[in-house]
Amino acid sequence: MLDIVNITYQLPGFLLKNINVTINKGEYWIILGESGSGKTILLDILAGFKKPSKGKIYKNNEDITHVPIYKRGFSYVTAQNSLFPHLSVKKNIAFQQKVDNVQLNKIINWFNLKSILNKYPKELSSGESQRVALARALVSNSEILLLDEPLSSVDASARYEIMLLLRQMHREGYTIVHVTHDFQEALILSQKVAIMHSGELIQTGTMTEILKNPVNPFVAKLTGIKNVFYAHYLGDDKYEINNKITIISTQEVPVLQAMIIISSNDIVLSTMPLHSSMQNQFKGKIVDILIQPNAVDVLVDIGIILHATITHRSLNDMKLTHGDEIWINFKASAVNVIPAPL
Amino acid sequence: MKNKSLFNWIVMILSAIVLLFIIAPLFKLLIGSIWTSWQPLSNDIEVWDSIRRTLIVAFITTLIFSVGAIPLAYLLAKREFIFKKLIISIIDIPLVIPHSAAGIALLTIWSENSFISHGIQIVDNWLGISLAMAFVSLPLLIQSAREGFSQISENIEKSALSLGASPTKVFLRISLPLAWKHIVTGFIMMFARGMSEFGAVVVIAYYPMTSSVLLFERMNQFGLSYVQPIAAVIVLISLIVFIILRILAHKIK
Repeated sequence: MLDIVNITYQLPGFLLKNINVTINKGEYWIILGESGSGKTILLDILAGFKKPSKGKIYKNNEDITHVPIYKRGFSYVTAQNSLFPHLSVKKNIAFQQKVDNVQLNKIINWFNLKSILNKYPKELSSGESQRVALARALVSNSEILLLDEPLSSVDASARYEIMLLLRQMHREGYTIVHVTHDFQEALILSQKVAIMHSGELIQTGTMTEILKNPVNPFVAKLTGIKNVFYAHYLGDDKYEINNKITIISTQEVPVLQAMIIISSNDIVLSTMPLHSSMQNQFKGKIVDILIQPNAVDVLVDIGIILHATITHRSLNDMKLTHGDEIWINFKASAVNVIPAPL
Repeated sequence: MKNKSLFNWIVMILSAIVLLFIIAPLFKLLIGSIWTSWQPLSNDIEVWDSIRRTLIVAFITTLIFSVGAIPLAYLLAKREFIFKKLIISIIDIPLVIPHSAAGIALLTIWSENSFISHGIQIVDNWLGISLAMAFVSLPLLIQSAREGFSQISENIEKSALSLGASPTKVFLRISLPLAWKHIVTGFIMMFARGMSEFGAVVVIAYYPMTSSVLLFERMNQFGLSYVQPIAAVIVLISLIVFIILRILAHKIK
């Protein structure tokens, strides 16, 4: 449906390099990256607000690279301030006069806007504003919705509600391209993810693929994986980290310098050595315990600092405290190895 | 607290001095002379003609020049182009040069032999008055409208375009209404400034006389006490027009 081919965009001190992505009808794409990665510039180029220095954009095989914004058939929703402040909610939604009434009413009901139709944007909460902005984007019958950090200015209480709406829009068959720096959003919403870093598209795929095989340490960190280390290959499936500890992996990457990635969820804590099939066992000391809403992050010093994620119940049962000695255990198959970046 | 109180007193006293400086002469002019000399003044057709002429020319001038000034303000606020900062500075020049010099500059470019005039006469006619008023007062409209357009979030215009609205529709239905408050303020300021202009007008069009030129002439001929009631009437009418426009503008908002 939408082919982005070799898109390049040059700014003083920044280069968006050869971006290639194919977005199929009905897909929910998340473009994930830190600020300054070029994700918003890419979205602006897709929308037509910026002209690429090189490359083409095709919609249904038709070259739209130089088609003006208002003829592209895309709707653009920004983080904030996208509603027309001098028009009521109703007039905002029906901004384009060619709106079909049946479609309009369907969307008003869907987004639960009946009670706020006569209000003005300044009277709305952040969640209501974003509901209106999304509804307005749908009313215009756009083929693709381009969302620029649509949840970043929404109150925490309304974020979940908007996320559910976005998932529902996806189920209804809308094609969505959503730019964000928030990994949680990508985790909950994405069907496909494109990860950007310093103007480059460094990995695309489903979230499962990316979590399983991050192509480099940056992606691993971005996905929230905290245990990422440079390692030296010793041979025989063994890798040495910081000349201190040796880790066994089932993956053999034939390079001298590698990156070791271990998901904190794959680490098992025990108060004594375990007689188990787990190949990696280390004794260490708890250096910090970070309480999160849904889990607990335990930092253990085994020569390197490893993060282990456990439940609140486990924390209470094991009565773990700062400074306790503890055993770290994980399988060789939980150790992901990738070549170290040059 | 004591310091704060002392600070408040100082601020209030200094403010009062400045306010008094503005209000006192106007008050003295209006109260002190107008009632005593109203009878002869009411029959002075030349005075009333000049006032009417000034109001009409200033208003029409502001209206006509708005047609170009508002799009220019929009361009300056919303587009990036080479020499933009220079252009913004140039627009302000009429405010800082002596207005008689502005009049001379206008005369130079509109002289009979210049490429721009094509034989159009501006000396001693309504067109000359209008050009003189516009030259010195346009910056006020342009800068105020530019400020208004600048305050519109880029996201709003981006959203409107992406919804399928053409740039013209976005300008007319989004940008113009949102900048309206600043445009109206600029319009009033340009009108008021044009109405009060003397230096540029007197160089180009001594006749037909605007109220400020008439005041100048009567002052030279008959002296201060004679001209006081006329000045009072002109100030009073200017104030009334200014207040009416402000009220109208407020209602439009």
